[in-house]
Amino acid sequence: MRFQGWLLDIREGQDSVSLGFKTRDGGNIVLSDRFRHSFYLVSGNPQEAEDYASKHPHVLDAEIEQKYVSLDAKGKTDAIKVVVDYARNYKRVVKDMKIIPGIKEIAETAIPQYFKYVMEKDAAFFSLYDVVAEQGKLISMEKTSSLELPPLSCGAIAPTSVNPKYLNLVLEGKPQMVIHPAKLAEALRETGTDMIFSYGGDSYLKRYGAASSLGNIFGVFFDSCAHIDLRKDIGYDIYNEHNLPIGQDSAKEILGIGKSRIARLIELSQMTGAKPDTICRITPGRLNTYLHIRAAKRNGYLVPDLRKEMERPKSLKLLMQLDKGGSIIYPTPGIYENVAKCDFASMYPNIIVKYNISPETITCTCCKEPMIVPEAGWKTCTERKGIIPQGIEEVLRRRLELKHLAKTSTDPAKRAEFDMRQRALKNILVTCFGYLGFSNFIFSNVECKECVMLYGRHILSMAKEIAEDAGFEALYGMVDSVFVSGGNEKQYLDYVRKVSAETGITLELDCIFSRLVFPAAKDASGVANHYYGLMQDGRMEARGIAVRHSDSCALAVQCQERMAKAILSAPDACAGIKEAKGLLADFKKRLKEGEFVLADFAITKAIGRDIGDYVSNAPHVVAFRQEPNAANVSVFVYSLFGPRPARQASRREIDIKKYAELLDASFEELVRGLRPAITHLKK
Amino acid sequence: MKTGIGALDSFLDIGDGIITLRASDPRLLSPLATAMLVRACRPGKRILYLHFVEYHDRYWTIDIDGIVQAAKMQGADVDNLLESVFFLRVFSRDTVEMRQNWQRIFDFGTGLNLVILDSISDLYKEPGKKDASLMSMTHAIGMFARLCAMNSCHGVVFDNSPQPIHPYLGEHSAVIIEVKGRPRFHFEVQKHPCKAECVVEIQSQHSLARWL
Repeated sequence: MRFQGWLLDIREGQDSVSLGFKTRDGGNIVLSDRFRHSFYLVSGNPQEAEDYASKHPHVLDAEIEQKYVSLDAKGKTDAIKVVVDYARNYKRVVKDMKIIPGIKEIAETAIPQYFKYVMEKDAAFFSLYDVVAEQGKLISMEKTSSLELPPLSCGAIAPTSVNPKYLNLVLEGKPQMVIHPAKLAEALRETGTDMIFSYGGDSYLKRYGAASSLGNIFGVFFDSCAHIDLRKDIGYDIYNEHNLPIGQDSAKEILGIGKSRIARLIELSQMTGAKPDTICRITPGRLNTYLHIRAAKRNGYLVPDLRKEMERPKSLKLLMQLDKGGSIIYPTPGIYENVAKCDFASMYPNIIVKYNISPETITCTCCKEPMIVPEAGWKTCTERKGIIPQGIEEVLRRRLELKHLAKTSTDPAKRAEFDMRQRALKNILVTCFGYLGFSNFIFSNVECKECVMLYGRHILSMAKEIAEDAGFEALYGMVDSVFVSGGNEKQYLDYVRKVSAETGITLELDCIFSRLVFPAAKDASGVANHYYGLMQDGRMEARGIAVRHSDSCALAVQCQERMAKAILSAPDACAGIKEAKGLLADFKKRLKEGEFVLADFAITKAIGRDIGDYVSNAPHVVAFRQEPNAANVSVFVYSLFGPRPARQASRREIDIKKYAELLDASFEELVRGLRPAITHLKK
Repeated sequence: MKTGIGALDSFLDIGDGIITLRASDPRLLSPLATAMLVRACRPGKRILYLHFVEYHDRYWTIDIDGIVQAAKMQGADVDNLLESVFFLRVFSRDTVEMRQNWQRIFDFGTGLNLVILDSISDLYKEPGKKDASLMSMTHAIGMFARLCAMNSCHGVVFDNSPQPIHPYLGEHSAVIIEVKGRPRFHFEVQKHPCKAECVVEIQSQHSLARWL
């Protein structure tokens, strides 16, 4: 039998795996493929260990393979691959192997078997395959596309509002029905549902006894379809655009959101090799683990069950020299014109790839001409590509491809899909650097993290130097972005090209501000991430001021936005400040006259800890104590009687004086320390 | 072993052995750690500072600027201090039982004048969880005691767990002092060679680790 189908699922059997395919006409085909559970032994005496292992009654085969047995291994040595007869004997065999004399380590027992199969066959979920099968057994499968998506049949569940022990089940093209959780698995099997979405299903399904045999500490899983808990999926998505929380009893809403997020799950699943129902339950950092395990296996490394490496001892002197964060060039407070904002594209992931930063490559002794890490003097290998750069490079390449497709696609739906897929990959890229220093990451290495930071600092200082050589002024720099002034668009484009060429990391011209203001801190010094500016297309960008703060009231945001625009768009900045002052007076007058509604005064702040743990009487805490809520969010106003929950307060009792102070503060935030800047502008 | 605090130093003045300083607030231990490092610094001798916490939480006890400042105030040789104090971080629950990790420390740790073991509270058993961490705790304390004995030097353990002291740590420590209060220090000596010990009879061995 030959057919084209998408690989949707891999289930582990005793001595084989079951592969679930979705055909073009929406049919489901399950094939089995022979695959035995296996793991590796590292021994001081491989021959003897192989002999012992092969005599075990449940070991089918034990053979010596050449592997890098640790990340710091200089070359490949003997490791024994132990193949177990049936899955049910796996744990017993692993336990028995520990008593073989001379055993140093048992590796790769913690990797899920389905993931081993994915790595061995270089398979990817949701990819389209040309499949050849015979009598229900897989003969061969060849990937044809990873971009075309399968026709999935989806559904969603939510507890009913009448009785939370029953569920509303919505399946595509079918009317909503009410079902008991215990019958859910059966209903999904019967209807041939491929993916079921819930919001918080992992907690309530377990509570009400659905699929109890399949529920584990990670979540609730069904044998016939993938269960996606959107609460976890959205919570772990750094670039999530969906508002939380979703209404619990709205299964249709959940289905809509779930379907819009399928592309993300598919992309991450294809990239890492993890199952989609696993993807939605793991942190973005953890995705790195899957990615790098694949790269390690490809390079012939054994993946240890436990992280063994620790940081090398460092003297205080070395620690002071190396243990630094990203570089910051502090701005001089003032008003500037024609300022270019330039950003390094995925700076840290690109540094990892370009400078080959990986635990096994940063202490190179094999190369004649290794790369020298600035300041640290460590030598990085130039001959052997590290496992971390390999994994990251794959993601970078794929993301570029998806970004290109998102730009060039003519179909808006396809554009949105590709955009969601590239944003999903960004989750891996933004966490890959920090994860290098995370103690539970199997390949973590503090020196690698320090290397990346040192290169980052070096590159930013190079960008500054190049700007100064070109006659520009580097006004402000923050880790991976640099603000320069003194040129026009063409000159700035030349500048970014030159920096990209010299550093090897692409610097992009993000925008040009026709006017940009760096207000001062309270002590009159320049402060990082605190600016507002008007771009050439008329849009305003602000950082670190009230318009950007989530805990600002609408009144302060409105007022500050108008004042900022006045300062930025007036022909003369001095006149702009005067106009802003006028606007402030106007807002205060309107405030006294009672023109604003209650919602304009409401301030929203999250309650991060248990309310009993707060010892301070901060306004949001005081208000929350008066009206606690399950969402742990305090929405309050300043009333004449102190902070009050917004729902309880009335317009009449608003503390006008306090809000006038807030308006004054929002003006002060914009113009603090700008006097010297006015002279600056004249220059 | 000196911290510069007269009342405390008289209790720390023991030949060698392990000194455990406990405080519920880790910030109380930070100035003591700084004072010990500065005073223990000798030409040609090294100090090892083991840190059990996650790399991202590394700053809560190590205050490099504070150490340098204190050394300057004491008139100590700052360059020598910077080169002789060694830090080892990211020594977490997962890696603490690794033989090769401890071997690396033993290989490094000769000619040591002082060994500080910080944030051991990370290895305490979490309430409601199984006893898996008890093994790493006893293992870590045993290895630490061995390292100090090999170098015939003081070992200082900083423990800020709210739980009662781990019995194996209590047994191995020559001195246990509870640090309380701020801004003025208060010390409560819980165990000292000069102090009569209150022996608690243990009814059952089942709840203890196998070599207790």
